[in-house]
Amino acid sequence: MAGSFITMLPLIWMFLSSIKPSKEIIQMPPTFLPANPTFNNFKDLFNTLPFMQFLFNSLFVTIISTVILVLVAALTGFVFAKFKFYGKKIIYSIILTTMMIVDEILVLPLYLMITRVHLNNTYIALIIPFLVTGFAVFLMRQFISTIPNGLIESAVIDGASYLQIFYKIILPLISPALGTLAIFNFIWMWNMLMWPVIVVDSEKMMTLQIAMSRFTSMYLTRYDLSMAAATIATIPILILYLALQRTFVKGIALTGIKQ
Amino acid sequence: MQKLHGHKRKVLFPYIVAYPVLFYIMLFFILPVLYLLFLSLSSTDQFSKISIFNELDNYQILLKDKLFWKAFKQTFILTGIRVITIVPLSLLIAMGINSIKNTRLRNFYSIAYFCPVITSTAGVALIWMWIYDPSLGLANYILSLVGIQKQSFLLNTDISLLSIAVVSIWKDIGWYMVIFFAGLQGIPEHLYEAAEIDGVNIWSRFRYITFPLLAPTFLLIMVVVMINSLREFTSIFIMTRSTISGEPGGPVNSTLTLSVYMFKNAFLYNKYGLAAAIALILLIILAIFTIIQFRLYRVEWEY
Repeated sequence: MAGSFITMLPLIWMFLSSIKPSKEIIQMPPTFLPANPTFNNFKDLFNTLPFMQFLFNSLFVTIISTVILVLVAALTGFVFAKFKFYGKKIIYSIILTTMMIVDEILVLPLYLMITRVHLNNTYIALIIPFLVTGFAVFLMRQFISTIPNGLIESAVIDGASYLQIFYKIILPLISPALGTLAIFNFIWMWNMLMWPVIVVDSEKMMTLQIAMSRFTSMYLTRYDLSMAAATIATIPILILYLALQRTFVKGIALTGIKQ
Repeated sequence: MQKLHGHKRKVLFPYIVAYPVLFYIMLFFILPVLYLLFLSLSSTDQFSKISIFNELDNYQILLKDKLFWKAFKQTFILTGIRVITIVPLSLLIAMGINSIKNTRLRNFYSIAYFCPVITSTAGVALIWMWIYDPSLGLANYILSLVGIQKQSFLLNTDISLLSIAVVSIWKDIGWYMVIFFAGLQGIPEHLYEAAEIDGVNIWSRFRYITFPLLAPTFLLIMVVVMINSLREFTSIFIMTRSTISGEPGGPVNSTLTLSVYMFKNAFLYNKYGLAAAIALILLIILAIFTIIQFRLYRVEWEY
């Protein structure tokens, strides 16, 4: 169980270092607890870079894309679980096939497409390729399949529209699955680096992750700033994890997948 | 299972949902792959103008390209290192946590191992860059306490790939541990109790109870670890970027993987044709693993 110390140490080290003054950070031998805790690193960070803008960009892109993805995937999952229609089988297999077409493969053609329509350096470019995934539709379909048809049929007899059935019956019943998908997608979008680096070059549109990837060349050994940035970038995931710990952990166990 | 088709009238609703989604998938997944195929058969000049249909030239260039093979080899070395460490370690940790009876203690350890998973990926790279710093880093400080001489982890071509692997293993173990843990919880307690009464030792209990019952989980995790290893990018991109040229994958290409090489060809050298060929090769490798994963997934779901 000593291993738990090793997995925790770097994270604790990051938090503690982010509140150490820069002199203490490069001191040898290193101190563990900060001798003079200070928030100066965070102040410096926000003063030297438009860090607030980066934080906003990251949050905006992540939240908007996650909300859309979860809703679209749930609606699509509903349709594939509970309806018969022309072309259903073939469309579903096309959707599932996209599970192997990961973004590392798509970035080049997507970049050329986005450039052709002059959408570089926009929120649309950051969001639009990530609104539906095969995995999301698959997960939602699996869950919605377990909902008894009787529930839906009686609502139809009562005169409810399918859209009403969707948000009044389906969505509440699959809320744990929605939570799981939302957390997975949040973390994935939040951490995404390759696509934003390619499609964004203006400082105004930069995400937190791009800014952090540039640290290594901009501030060679300013570990005070990099630890403050790493701390800020971790906080949203940490909050989400603490709030939805159960859903999160169950979701990983259930899906057995890593995005 | 009966589907909703009570009404004999045609229902419009599924069409309104499914066909736009199909259109989206076609536009953002299928079309780009076809575009890749086209690019991989074309060549680009230095002004990044796509022209000249040059058939299989890009693939032929790649086959003769030493760097491509280096990237190929290193991708699989990284994958191999990760599989042989992550799979047994995460299982071992899951078994350890599973054996703790005290719920509070158990929760504490689960969260402890989960810490790296919830740390921002770019943040992880920055933390470890500092830990690996030859003169200011924690790693060398700890090594000096045990009397081992200083290492320059990311700057030494012999150990740079290994240093990257350590970070990604550290980051991912908690995730796979959770999957194993769920698998372990599904094994009925009475099997172990019976074995204990019969005086079966720990190793045999693992060999004849835990392992066979966890086999599907085991295989699934192996495949998922492989897929994610092939895709490793962020940590390499941040940690190995040259301060002079800004190119990732160094020093001397010692951490170059297929995805990094694809990125460099596409966005640093404007060699779209080569990049597209690499992307398609990566797609074929991933497709094979994904199909295996999907087979296992189905087994898992029924079970």
